Amino acid sequence: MTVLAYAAANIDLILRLAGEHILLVLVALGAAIATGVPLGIALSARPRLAAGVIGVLSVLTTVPSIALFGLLLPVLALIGQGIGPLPAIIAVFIYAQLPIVRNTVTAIAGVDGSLRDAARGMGMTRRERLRRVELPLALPVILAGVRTALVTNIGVMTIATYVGAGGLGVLISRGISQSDPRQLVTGAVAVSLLAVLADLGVLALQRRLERRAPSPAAAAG
Amino acid sequence: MISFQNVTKRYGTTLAVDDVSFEIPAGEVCVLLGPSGCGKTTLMRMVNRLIPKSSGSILVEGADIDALDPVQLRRRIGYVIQQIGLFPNMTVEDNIRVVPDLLGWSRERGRDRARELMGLMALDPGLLARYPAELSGGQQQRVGVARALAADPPVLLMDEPFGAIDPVNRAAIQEEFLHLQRTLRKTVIFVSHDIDEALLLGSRIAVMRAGRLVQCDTPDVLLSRPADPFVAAFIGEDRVLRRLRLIPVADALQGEPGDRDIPSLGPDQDMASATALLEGSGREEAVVVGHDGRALGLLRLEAVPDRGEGVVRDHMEPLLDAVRPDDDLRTAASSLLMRGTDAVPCIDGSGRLAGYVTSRGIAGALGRRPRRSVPMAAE
Repeated sequence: MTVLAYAAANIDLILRLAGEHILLVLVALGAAIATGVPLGIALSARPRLAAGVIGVLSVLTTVPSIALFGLLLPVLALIGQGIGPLPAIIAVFIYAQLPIVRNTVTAIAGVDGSLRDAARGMGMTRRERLRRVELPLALPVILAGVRTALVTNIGVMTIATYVGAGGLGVLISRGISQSDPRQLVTGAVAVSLLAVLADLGVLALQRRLERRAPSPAAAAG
Repeated sequence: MISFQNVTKRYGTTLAVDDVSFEIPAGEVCVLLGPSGCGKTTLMRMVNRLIPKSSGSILVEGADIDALDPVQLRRRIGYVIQQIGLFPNMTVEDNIRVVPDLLGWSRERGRDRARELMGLMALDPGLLARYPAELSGGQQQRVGVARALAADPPVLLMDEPFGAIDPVNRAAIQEEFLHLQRTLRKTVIFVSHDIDEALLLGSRIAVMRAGRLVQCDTPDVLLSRPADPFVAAFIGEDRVLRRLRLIPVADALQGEPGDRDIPSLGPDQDMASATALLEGSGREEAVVVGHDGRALGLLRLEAVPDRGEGVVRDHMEPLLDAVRPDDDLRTAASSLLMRGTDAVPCIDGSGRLAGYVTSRGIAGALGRRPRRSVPMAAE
């Protein structure tokens, strides 16, 4: 009850922090999509290079975010951004690469070879093939990667508070330092709710895309 | 027209296509026939530059394909593959409109063309808004052919297009293709390993073996004069029977009305003279022909018990199992065997007796020089 009373009394603060949190994640994820999808497309035709890059990204994902902040601090300090939103965004940007690049590579490389052959034989350029055939068919799988990246990084972004970037992590860190379980629980529940809502939202989008373009397997089943 | 001049494809040290030269005149269907791995698909895919040649040149409609941009070249050549390759993310209409859209046709023109092609391929225009996965295999391949024809290319490349369709549907779609080709007159390269399909669809057949062109001829020449034992074995020991399908009844007719070997009878002739005439010629039956030349019926000696009462008209039977001049000899031969007689009457489109098909007539037609003309041009 005390948690609910706290949350009700501080609803403005919670919404403001949630807004910061969402903004941080969206900026990081947007940048990750903007680079990860083209990278995945470029790698889809080069399976050996793709395996190498995905290996490197896997290693990067295992670096703890606190350690990453420590590594980024001296570098970003050169441009006066050692603390603040930039290191948080960069950390999440790096963590989001793996699911997005991996799913893009898998999805594009997985497009039926006869479709690619038909598209080439009918006179589509590489770009037209991508835009009209390969990307539309790969989109549900790419979106699944984005969904994974989004959900995990909503959690990861709570760490942003330690570099002074704000977000819902503020409530959690304050709860810990002030030994105040009301703030701690409110922050944790808010992050979880955000992650669940984001998951459902992207899932709905994914389903809609799949319905619009039924894959042969889906229609047969 | 498509012209191959010393075309060779090398993969490392193996020759997939070995110095092939021949021409396909405009409006003809050339079937590339041979066992798998003989290089027929490779040869076809070099025409639209999906596979680069190692040496030699290919001319399409008089233009050297190497002088053209591959993308522009492909948009002018229809392409149909065995796996059909309809894009599952597009509706049937969008699939058909791929090349028109690439060529920058207007929406209306593309839409009208898609509707027209659905009619041409005997497909319900209601399917235009559906996705390929909602169609049967036969419908999908009809859409595949429609898509290849969309921008009305002069040349079609077809890689075993009907190979994955069940036999009943395949026969139907082959007939439709033949029918379509009679009006469209595309220059077609059709890859197949099925001799029956090749004989049915090809106006000429190029037999390949181990990368080399062994023989390129009309179906009739191929069957009657195979170039070597490989071709003979590939087209089968029963090639005489296969040839029967290629020759029309009209080429084997004997005994027009008035011919003494095979008499015809008038309806008012009295039975005594009719039976005498038949017995004199050693025949068991004859067609009864009216004054206007129209066939009225059949008189069979066997069916006349006391051979003599009244006139022919009183004893004749309806003419049920006659053949027509444009039937093939296979139909006539099977009719001959079924009837158990030595002649099958042939009735033309206006109901006149055109003559009889006998086993001697069939043998004569098979013995004549094979036809070098294009069978489809006969229509």
